[in-house]
Amino acid sequence: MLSVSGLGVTLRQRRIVDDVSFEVGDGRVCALIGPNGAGKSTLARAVSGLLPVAAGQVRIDGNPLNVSDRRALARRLAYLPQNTTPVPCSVFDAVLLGRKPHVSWRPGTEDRRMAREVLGEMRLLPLADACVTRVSGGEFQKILIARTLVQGSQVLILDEPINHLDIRNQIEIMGLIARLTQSRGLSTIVVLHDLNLALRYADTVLLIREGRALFCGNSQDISPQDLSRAYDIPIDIREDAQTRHVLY
Amino acid sequence: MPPLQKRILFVSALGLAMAGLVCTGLRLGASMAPLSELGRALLRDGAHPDLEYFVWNLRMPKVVAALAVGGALAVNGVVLQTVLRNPLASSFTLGQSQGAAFGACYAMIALASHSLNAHISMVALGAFGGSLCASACILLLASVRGMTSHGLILAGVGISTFFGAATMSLQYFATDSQVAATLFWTFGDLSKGAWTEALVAAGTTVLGLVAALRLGWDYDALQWGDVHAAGLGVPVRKIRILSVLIASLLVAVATAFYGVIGFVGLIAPHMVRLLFRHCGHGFLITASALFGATFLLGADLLAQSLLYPVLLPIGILCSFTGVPIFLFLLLRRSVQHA
Repeated sequence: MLSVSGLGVTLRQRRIVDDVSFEVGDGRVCALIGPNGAGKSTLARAVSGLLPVAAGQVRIDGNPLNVSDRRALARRLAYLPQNTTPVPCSVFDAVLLGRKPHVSWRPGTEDRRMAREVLGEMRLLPLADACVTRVSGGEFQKILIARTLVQGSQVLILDEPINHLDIRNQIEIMGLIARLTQSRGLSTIVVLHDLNLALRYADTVLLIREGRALFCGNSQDISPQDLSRAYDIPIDIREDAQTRHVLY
Repeated sequence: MPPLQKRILFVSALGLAMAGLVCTGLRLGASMAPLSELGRALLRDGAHPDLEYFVWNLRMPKVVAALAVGGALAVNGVVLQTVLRNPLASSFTLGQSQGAAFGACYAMIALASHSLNAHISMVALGAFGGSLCASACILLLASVRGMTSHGLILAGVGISTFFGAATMSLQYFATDSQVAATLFWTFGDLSKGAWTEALVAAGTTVLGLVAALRLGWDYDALQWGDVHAAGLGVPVRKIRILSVLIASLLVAVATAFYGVIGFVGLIAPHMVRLLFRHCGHGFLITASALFGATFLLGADLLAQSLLYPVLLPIGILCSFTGVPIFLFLLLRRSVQHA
């Protein structure tokens, strides 16, 4: 379980994230939503130990993160930044790189087996020898997610993993994240812009604006007023038998 | 052809070419010694004492130096290009060589050790200090937010010009013999050193190569960007500083003993990347080192025979070969970004 308490981040004498607390349980997906400039990516990076924290604490299973040991941290928490540019290497090598925190010299047979297993699970094995720069946008995002899974961490933090993807790929990847989080018992934070996908696939929602949490709780409990207050536009939520739809 | 077979074929071809060039390098003098005589000279059977002397004391140290310096500069190029994420980076384009040249000239002139053989360790230390100064400038500039790869190369031009001017200032106040010594030294010539220099250069190259290979997987992660690498547990800042230190050491030893030799660090990695577009850094470093070593040895033999009996300094030949390749890479990148 990931728990964040009273987290504050200050960059260039400006408070970007202020007193944010939340928890993500095992096998649960938390959607981190909010308008542009709300501090979502800063919060994601701070929780990942990639930005210095001015206040508060991040704990995994009750143990505080030790950001000075990057390797040990990466074994417990995997972070996927937004807007990643493909690098010319094979899909298999790109995914195998996820074993980096566990290996100091070169990856061994067991590491290769794990990479192959995740590629199979994500139906990427036929692409294993292809060059990363030649795959589609959706496949590329899946490759990056596969890498975070190979990392074997208990916590996944994915910063806008469905950016620039068409709706079919968005649904496919969000479904995949939800399924893998549940089957592997992970605690996953996904930074999202699409409110409908957030309500559809996330168990909990953290809504922030100007670095402060406006709502933190079960995705079924978020109200249109919370969303309207965050985005400064009238927003409505309609419910049917299966899901809730955000209208704006 | 499967990637593994292609790699084996490439390394084997380089190995064969290197063996052929080593053999030619040991035979090549005023006249080409027959293979049988070379074999006997190598065994030191006393049949050809003159040839034995030339092979063991003049030609072999030069061949070892060519292989060591070529490998060192190639590894330096791969390391700099990776940690600075700049395909145009090399010791020559970023001013490291000129920094080392200044440091060595300072040791020769200001510390009054103009006789190279007498104070070679002082010259080497001076070169290392100079290349470290240039590396510190590069690291500082590379960390500036928004600095583009073209911007970094322009900064490299500035650093080179600064160290060039500093070297000229030293020479202006030096005696005629000191000026002659430093000027001849900056040409870049592999026949300057003897066994000691060649072995120190070879040892440093092997150390640098092993260190770079040890960091190979970190470099694979760094290719994806600093945030990605940090997320994968790579201590980015530490690796970057360590890598620039390794690169500085490699270029400092090469420059201290043999003068400024440019563009090998640019040519070798790009030739390997051209053939193996998506290889990891483990292979890239090894193959570039092999290519750099073979290329410099080949270039040195060409420099010896092109205007025989005039022996051209290797630095000049490398620059003539390297500048068109550098301009091609620069133009290709500029067109891609336009």
